[in-house]
Amino acid sequence: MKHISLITKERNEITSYLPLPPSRSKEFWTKWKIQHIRQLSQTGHSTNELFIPTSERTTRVLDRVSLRQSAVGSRTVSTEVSFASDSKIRLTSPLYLGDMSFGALSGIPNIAIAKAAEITGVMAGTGEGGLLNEIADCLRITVQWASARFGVDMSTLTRGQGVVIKIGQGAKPGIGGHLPGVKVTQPISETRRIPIGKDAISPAPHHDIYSIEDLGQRILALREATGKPVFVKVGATNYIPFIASGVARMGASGIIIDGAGAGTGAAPSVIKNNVGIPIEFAVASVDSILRREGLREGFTVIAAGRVSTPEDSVKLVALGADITSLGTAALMALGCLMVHKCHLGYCPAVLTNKISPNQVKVLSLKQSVNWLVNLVNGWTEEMKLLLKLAGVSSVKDLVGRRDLLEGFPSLNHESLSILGLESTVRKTTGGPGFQFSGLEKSDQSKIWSAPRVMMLREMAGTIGKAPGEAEISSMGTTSPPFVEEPVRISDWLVSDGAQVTRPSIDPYREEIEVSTYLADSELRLSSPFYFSNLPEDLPSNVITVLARTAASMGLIMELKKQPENKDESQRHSRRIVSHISHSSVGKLRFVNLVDASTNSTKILIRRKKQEGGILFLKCPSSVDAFRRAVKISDFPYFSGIILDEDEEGSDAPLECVLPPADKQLKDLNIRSRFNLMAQGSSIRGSDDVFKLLALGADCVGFGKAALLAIGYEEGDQEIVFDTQKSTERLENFVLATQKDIKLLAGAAGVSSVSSTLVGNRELLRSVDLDPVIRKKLGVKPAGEF
Amino acid sequence: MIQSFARNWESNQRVNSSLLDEKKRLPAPSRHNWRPTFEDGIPVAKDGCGVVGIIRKHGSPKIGNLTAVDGIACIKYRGSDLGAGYASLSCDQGDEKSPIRVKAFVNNVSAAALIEKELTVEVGDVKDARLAKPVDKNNRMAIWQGLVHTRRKDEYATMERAVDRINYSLIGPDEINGRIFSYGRYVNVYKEVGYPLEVARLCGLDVESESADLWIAHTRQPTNSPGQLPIWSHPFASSECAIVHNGDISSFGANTELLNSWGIRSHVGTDSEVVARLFDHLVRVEGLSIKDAATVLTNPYERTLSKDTLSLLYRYRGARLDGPFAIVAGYCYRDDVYLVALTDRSKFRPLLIGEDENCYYVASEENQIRNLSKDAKVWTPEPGSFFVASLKRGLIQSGTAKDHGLQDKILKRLPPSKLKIDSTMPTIDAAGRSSQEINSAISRAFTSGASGIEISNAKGERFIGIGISTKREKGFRDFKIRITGFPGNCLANLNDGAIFEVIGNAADDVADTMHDGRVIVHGSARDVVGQALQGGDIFVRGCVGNRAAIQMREYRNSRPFVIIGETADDYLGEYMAGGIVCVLNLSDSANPVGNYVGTGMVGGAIYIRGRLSDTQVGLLPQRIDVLEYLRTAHIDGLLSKDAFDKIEANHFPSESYLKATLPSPLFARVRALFFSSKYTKTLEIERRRLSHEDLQSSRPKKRR
Repeated sequence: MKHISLITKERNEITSYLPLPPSRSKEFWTKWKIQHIRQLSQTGHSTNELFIPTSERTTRVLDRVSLRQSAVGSRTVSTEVSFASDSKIRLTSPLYLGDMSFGALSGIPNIAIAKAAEITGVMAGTGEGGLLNEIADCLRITVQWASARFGVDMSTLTRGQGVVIKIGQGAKPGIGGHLPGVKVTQPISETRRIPIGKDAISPAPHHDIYSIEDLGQRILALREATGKPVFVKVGATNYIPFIASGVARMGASGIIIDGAGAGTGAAPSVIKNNVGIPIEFAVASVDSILRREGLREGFTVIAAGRVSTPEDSVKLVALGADITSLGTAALMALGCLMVHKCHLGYCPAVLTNKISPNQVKVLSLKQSVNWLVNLVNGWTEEMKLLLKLAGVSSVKDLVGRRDLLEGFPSLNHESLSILGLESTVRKTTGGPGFQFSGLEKSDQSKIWSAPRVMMLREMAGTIGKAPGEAEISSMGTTSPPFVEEPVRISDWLVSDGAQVTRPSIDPYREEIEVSTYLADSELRLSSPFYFSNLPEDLPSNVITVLARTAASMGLIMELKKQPENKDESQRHSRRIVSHISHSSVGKLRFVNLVDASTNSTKILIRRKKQEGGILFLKCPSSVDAFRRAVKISDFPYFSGIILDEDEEGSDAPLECVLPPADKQLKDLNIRSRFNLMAQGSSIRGSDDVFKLLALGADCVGFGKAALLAIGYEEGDQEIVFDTQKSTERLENFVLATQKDIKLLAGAAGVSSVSSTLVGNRELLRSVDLDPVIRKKLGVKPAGEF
Repeated sequence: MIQSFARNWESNQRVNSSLLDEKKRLPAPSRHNWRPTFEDGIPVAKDGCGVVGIIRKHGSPKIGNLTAVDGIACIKYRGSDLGAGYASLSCDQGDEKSPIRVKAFVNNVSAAALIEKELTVEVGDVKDARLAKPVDKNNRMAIWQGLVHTRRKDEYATMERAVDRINYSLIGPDEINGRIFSYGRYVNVYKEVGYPLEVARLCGLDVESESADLWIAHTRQPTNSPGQLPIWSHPFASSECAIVHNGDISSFGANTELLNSWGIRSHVGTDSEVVARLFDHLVRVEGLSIKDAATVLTNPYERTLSKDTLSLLYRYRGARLDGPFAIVAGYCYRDDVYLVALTDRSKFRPLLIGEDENCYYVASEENQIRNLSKDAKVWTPEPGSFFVASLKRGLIQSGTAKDHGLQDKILKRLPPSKLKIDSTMPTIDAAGRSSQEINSAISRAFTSGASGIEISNAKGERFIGIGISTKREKGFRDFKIRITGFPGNCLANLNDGAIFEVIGNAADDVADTMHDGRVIVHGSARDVVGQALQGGDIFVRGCVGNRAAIQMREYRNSRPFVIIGETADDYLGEYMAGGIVCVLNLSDSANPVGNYVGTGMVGGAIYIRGRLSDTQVGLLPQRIDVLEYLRTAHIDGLLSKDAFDKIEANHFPSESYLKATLPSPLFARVRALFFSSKYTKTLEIERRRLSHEDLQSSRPKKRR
């Protein structure tokens, strides 16, 4: 291990916290939470607010669970726990300072975390970045064996108190890592053992671990090589109970489960917002399955992801964790301001900036260690006070004591049952927590939130520097339903991250097919989406941009209004779906359900079909209307049905109509040669498309998202609209949307979207969705097993 | 105790209600107090699903049950005590007029009575109905068996419907009363909860009892469903088709939906059962040939498809499988018996094919085949391919486009070791020894100052030599580990200076995270050779599988080398960040490497001798997407008709070809959209004779 000098005295050392900037949008890490952590870190003692005030609670499930206070109370409290049953190491407090690598953090924070763990007698995870000398000398660390093997050799593996096989992380289960070459500086190269200036890629899966049996082999091999306890770190995903039971059966000493919403140095937003389940569900179901299978004893469960207060720690232990992990909270103690810009390299608190010897500002190591030691001490003191209130004398006795918890009335009975709290409250609704309020009520400003529009524009290259790429962001997500307000049912649905039992697939280096075929394989779309539901008064050059891009990028476009003959879009009519009565030349046509039975339309339908046309029947988003649609006499002439949420007569959101529609076509045994399409103006982009596919659609149409992406505002005149630039932006947007879908598919271990994803509701889970709606969708609740 | 009467459970036990409670409810799933067994402080490996399949060749004797037991019991460590099973198929075991044998697990007498009654009503008279004692070691489920005499012509369709209806009614939300697990004339399924040997004993297969044309067997490591009941054990059967499976199918939800629409609604919840139903249905009901059905299931990449296959795959898109799988199926169809093996697109699960004079073999690990036939010809199927052999037609599909005899040729002419054998070098016979014992022997040899160790008769022992560092003590010295036979996965992982020599074939994950030293394999190696290799050399005389030299990298003064004598499969040098890979292709194979060569590569060089098409390098866009873009450009007048026609006629318009053909603004756009990403580097391809300079530039860096 080469000594790398990161600590110099000449540089400007930061020794105090920066003031918090005014918050612009909703955050999980509210000002109160940050101030609370800062107070603990400055004093090293408990604050006078043990519980999160009601006004500060988000709609997160754990925020809607409270600790029962015992009338008796307990006098003395022990927080000591064992780290692993096959290790002599004991922790003074059930805390793990979690797995942030050298490279994600800028060095001083890494050293401070390792030193603070040693001083306070807890444990620090070092992440996949190799070991700095200063860290290697610390006794209370674990080292990581991750998919890229960065910095791994026998001497690093045997340094710590345990080896962590990192399979996944909560912010991005099923996604690999990518450190651009410019950031691979000398110190990074030295610790990671990689060439300077070359991109450092962490593959999405371990290429020697494709199954539970492969994982077992690796656990055994590492244990044999090092003689240390071996832990497995995974993200909380659909199959987390089975994964945990497999990990325990395979002989690991413990599991680190990282919940959705956890922090990260960089991750595609679409993954952060839509993959993974909350840690509270994961911990509760893992504890239950391990107990059921007799595997719980002697197996350590570490819960990570959004552990924001000592109260969270206590509640997670009561739900079944042995230890909780502090990642973002530790960064807060070091002065993090939650600006979500880690990946850009100019962190205002110099926690995550590019590692270079020429840094002007650095964090004071002494002060950092001080803050973190205080954090651990203060956190532990608050946990002790909470335990006293609950009447429990030791953290060990608290594990799995769900009887000490109580759910808020707003939690639905399914969520309560997964948490194991069913007996404590009545089945009622109300209070904090969002309910789905129906289609018309969600107003446009809510649907097109500022972060959403920013994301669309970055994908198109209208703003930002990575046109045509999935948007990347840092730290935890603020996505609905647990921070921002949900507007569609899809906001309560999350997708799977493939881990352990099957490998995830990296869309940048491996093949993921997103093309979809319509009309008995006569019409191919490059991606499972298309343009539709465009505003009526769109200027003709905007239409041209859309039509041209639909054609060049291998999509289709629905055009409701009769195109003028001189319209340039006519040139690309091979990919335009127009009304059957229009005189345009294309062969793709739609027929409205209300007209389909009139004699004049019937004649048209038959004539177009004879001419080789491909016809789609358009139907409102309504189960009844769909039923009527499949019964009309000319039904065999159609290649598919388009469910349109904007169509008059729509009485339910697409999420509720697609599953029964899909099933009905299957029951009629015509689904394999008949397409089901879904479209609407409030479909917001790749994540909605992906979820609607899983609910049964072959492809999904949207319009406004594309227009917002390219910077077109309703009412814009032709003059301000640059056709050339807009075309490029729209092409970029299509490409980026395609990449988002590939990322989601790859994360779930899906390599063939049209055959694997469509109608595969098993890949989705609902998080705290109203059980009545959930049943309509046919999606399982997260954490159920 | 249970085992003793389990052995003769078939001996005419009439339904005896005293053996079972009238309406016994299923108790709460048992607590498996299983923890790794520690021997000398080290846990014994228990991991992995394992599969095996054997079919006899025409004219060869039938295969006895003990062969199947031998083929699976030797990889007990891949599975758990949560399920194992066997299936035999023989096409002469009856004819169209024979009754159909139905087997079911039942939890109580009412379930048995219900099955008998329903089958009688819906299909035909049930004769010789028998109930064995509760043979499950948890004393829970008994096996009911009966012979159904059908009255109808479409007996399989009727049977399928009836079985589905009965099964559906037997599994309630809170209780499992029973399950019909096989029905057919030519197929026999035996499965239970336990390790392969225990299950063989429970089913009476531990003594010579049955010969068949084909056997398949399985040991289970449950992933997404419980394993406490035998209904979750493999094989799964549907009419005359039985399958065993190692994998986790991500299309499971979509596949189940298709089955539901075909009227098959009762599922125990494992993806493996779904595969059996799909395969059987595609062949028997939809009328697909065995090959077409296998094509649909393996779900080949769109870019490889003909128009006909495309429309076949479109029609049966709900039947296509995704996610990792290695499936072995036996099917008795139209007077012939077929052994079919399928691998997924990325070959995420191990599968090997073997052949000798008498039989074809399919297995998870080479040592299974060697156990049954020491000198069998063994080869690896390619990703996304399938193998088919039948009793009457022999080898129908080898599973590889390459010469499937190549690996065997290399193995049959193993050279004598080049390492000098020192008379003081200790030797150890691997037979009967665990990996841990072998590794202790290696450590002892090293610390005693010997110059090496000789390990003979290796057969599947994993992680031999892990963590051996010859550098830790008083500087470096040569230490040789010579292995004869077929060592298992993870050989020479984390190696830091030792020299490994294998006289035989190596398995998966050779030299993972090796820092220094040398690995020489005189035969072939399987998948993921030299992952994250950061120093030292690997020589493989024969072929390597998928993902060789991935993430290989240079660092400071070390430059790793991977030299392959013959061929490599897909993803050679993926994510590579330094070092040299050489595919010598000494036997002049037409396809020296597979697809996706150097995908995500950021440094280093790969040399390939022989033919390589542009379409094999990197991850390329779909041809049809690029053409659609250019067609639009042509319609908009940005590209002449001539130019477009020429490009369209091209097999694959590569980036360099387009650069030369397209007007530059258009090319810039095409490149941005289809050939570049923020996350990948452009790969340079050169085709030429090697020169002296190449040798200079690829010299090892300064060595120790």
